[in-house]
Amino acid sequence: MIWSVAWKNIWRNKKRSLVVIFAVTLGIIAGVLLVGIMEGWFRERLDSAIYNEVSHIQIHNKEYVKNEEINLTVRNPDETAQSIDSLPGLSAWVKRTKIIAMANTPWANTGVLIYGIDPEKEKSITNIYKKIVTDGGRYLTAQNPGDILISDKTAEILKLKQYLISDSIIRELAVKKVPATVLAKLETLKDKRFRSPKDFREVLKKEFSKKELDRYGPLITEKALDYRIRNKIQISISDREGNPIQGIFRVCGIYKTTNTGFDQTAVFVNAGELAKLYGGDDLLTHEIAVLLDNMDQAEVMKEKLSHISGENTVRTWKELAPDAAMMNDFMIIYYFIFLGIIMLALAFGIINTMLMTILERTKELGMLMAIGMNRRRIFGMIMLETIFLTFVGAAAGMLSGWTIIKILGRTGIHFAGWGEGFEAIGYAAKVYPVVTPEFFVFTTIMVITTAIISSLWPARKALKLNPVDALRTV
Amino acid sequence: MNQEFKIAWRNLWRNRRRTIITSASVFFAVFFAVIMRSYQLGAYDHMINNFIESFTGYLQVQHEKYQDNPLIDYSFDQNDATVAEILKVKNVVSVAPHLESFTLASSGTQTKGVAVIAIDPVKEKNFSDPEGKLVKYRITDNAVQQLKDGSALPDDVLEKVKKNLGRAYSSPLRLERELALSAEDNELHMPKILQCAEISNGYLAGDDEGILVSDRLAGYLKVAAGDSVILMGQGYHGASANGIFPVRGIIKMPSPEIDNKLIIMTIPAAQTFFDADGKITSLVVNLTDKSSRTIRAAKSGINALLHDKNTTAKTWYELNPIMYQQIKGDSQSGIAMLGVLYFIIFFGIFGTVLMMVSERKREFGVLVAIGMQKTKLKRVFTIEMILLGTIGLVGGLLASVPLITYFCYHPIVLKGELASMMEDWGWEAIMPTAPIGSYFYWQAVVVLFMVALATIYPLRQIGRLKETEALKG
Repeated sequence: MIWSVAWKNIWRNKKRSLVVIFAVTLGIIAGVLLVGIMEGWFRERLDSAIYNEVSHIQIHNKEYVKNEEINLTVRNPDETAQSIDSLPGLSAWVKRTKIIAMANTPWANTGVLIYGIDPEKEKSITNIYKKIVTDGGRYLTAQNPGDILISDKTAEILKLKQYLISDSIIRELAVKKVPATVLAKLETLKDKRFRSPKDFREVLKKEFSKKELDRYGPLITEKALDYRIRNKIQISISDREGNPIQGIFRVCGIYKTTNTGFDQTAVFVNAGELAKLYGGDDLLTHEIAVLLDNMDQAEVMKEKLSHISGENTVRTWKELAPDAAMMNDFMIIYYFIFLGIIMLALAFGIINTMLMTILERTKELGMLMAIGMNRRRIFGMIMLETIFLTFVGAAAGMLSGWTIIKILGRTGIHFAGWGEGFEAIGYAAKVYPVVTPEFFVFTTIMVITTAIISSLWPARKALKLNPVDALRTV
Repeated sequence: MNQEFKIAWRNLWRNRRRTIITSASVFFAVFFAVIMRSYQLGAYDHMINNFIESFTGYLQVQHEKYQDNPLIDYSFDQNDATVAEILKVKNVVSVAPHLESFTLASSGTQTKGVAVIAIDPVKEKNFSDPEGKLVKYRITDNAVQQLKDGSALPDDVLEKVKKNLGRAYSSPLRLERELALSAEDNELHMPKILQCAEISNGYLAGDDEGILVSDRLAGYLKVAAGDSVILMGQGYHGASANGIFPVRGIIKMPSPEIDNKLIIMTIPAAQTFFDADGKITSLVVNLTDKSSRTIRAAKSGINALLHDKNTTAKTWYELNPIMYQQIKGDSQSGIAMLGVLYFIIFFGIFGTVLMMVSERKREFGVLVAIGMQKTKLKRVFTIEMILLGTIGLVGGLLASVPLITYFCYHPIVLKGELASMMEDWGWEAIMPTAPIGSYFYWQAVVVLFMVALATIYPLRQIGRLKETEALKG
């Protein structure tokens, strides 16, 4: 009974209730949206950290961790490997050679970290093979041992990225409904090579008006981009005796993850081919990367692996990617504070409205008391009214927030202006927001708590009414 | 006007509780916004102060193409007259010349690609201060052995020392903090530990032939002060550059990435080595303050002085666009958060306005019926609204001023891992607030805008008011 009375009471002053409901709805939408974006970001970072960069657990030589020298390989790699195989709960593992090197092209050079891998096995551990950019060639294969896979960033540094307008590109652009005036201007740039994105941008800026550039610039840049795949890169390393040696690799593909820091240094080659370079019959193992069935088992597995691998250092992803680990631990607190602030702001509006309804209904409440409604039920009614009022808004907010997240989760949000800065610290420029069901449970609990707390003052005020005085008010 | 103000003021206090709650919501929003912004802006300031002032400088004079192609070919003539003139530009504090390049460094069987930065040893003290980063103490096996044999060091103290085996320190304070001995132990044993761990280390003199090697690189090359390192690379216009350089000292760079690959030498030595007589790659300029107006003014001032038309002054955000983007991105997300907060508060205000209008419809009717002009009524209502917003606004601003001012001059000192990381970077481990600035006034603008928006509805209601109907309601 009291439930339906409370519900009906809300709708006695529709306009006022709707303002509060609307405020709650918008507050919750904003909350869901911002949390969704943060969560999406964080998930992507975590995914990238684990599936592109560090896996769940890595094993190294103790000294290698401090100084990445070629001779500091994992101790007893074969025995360790055998024991790892016998452990339950592992999804996959690989051995890698990892050597610091200089990469040279005729135009530039840079320091890189070479990963000598088994391309097929590597697929079970990292997703690098899925990160090949469009028109960026292909992943490493065992059939072409002399190949090297580099990142978009490395390609840029080594000047293996060029911009070129050709007839076919102009035709493609015409299909995409780029106006003829723009295409005519592009004709003048035809078959000229631009070695850096900056040069190309400068030229475009000179040729086109700002409006044209905003509209078609990104599309033209995307189409004109041409990776110089099949180009040679000279790699210099020190061999096991410390003598400098050089080898030539051919670029087979270009990858791009969301972490420029990782991209800048990591290049991949076939482990066997790298071994030919440093000499010796055995493949050197500098790193063993392990992927678990269950990420939460990392600490337990670390213990077991430490036991097995003896002298070597075993580290979990939390130690290897401390930034992601910190986020993992603090995210929930962050959400709590964030929602708490929104709720606090909403509470002011709710309290105000509820106090108002008490004031308006003084006479009515006096009447109810006079005819025998006890104080507990009055208290309960006011509290229920507050909860209903808040929860209607919250439900609407969560529903619309969820819908928006679903849509944005598919399309993604692109933070064009700050993309580079985010990617430099490992966060994607394009975010796919996500929210978990747990978050909605969490939000619901916070909403109801807020409603109960904000109802205390108005409800207490109602209780303090003296039925006789209350009945006399106009 | 005076009378209208009086009426508005009294109207406001007819429902005291409602006015207080609405003002409190504005107060809360303003207070929170100011504190949050202040900490955010303070953090950026701190970051810029620390990072820019000792790494990039606020401005750098470079060859136009140097930023995209950091090659020694894009260097320019060192001109002391120009430097002297730049120093006279308003707000310029210091100018330090740099000659930077990449080479291979080799010692024994170890070889590694390194970054060479040539400096003026005296001028550089005001900038990145390599002298302050010289390693003065190192816990070596030898030092531990000495401590074990030669002194009555208690076992627990010795254990703590052993834990830091291999680590290097630029100051006794830092070593003290890392060992974390009890006050008593500290006083008793610290002199002995310092004595055993002390290592000799020198700085560069004016046209010294020697070099400083970063700590991790020295570890890799297995060199110490007194040894030599062979450098091989490419000099100016493709000349080959080879030389052997004595190591004068080891420096500890905070960033592991830099610590892995840095060699510092004097400019004359580098010019001879790279066959780049009289050339430098950049002039690093620091300013009195970092407001964009000062930077822009200094930039154009310096550009006017440059005789070599290929050179130009670049600001720190042109040189370091990624950091600039990160700061901007973070700042915008903070603003978005405050936007949400103000949005909700706006609805609170709007709800109050709705109530005010509906409960006073009859009263408005009476007032108009007895001859009060609607425009006057509107004015009274507007004043009421402005007062409602202003109480919270002024309250929020006033309440935040003492807090901000206090924490600006007595910032929160950070502790723990984060703090030592910041100190490793050469930053003070503090969380300062930004002094009162434009962000302060922005809160006022936002609140007044919200009030104005909320006032539109009641004003229209008053405009449409029909006395006869209102009197009945």
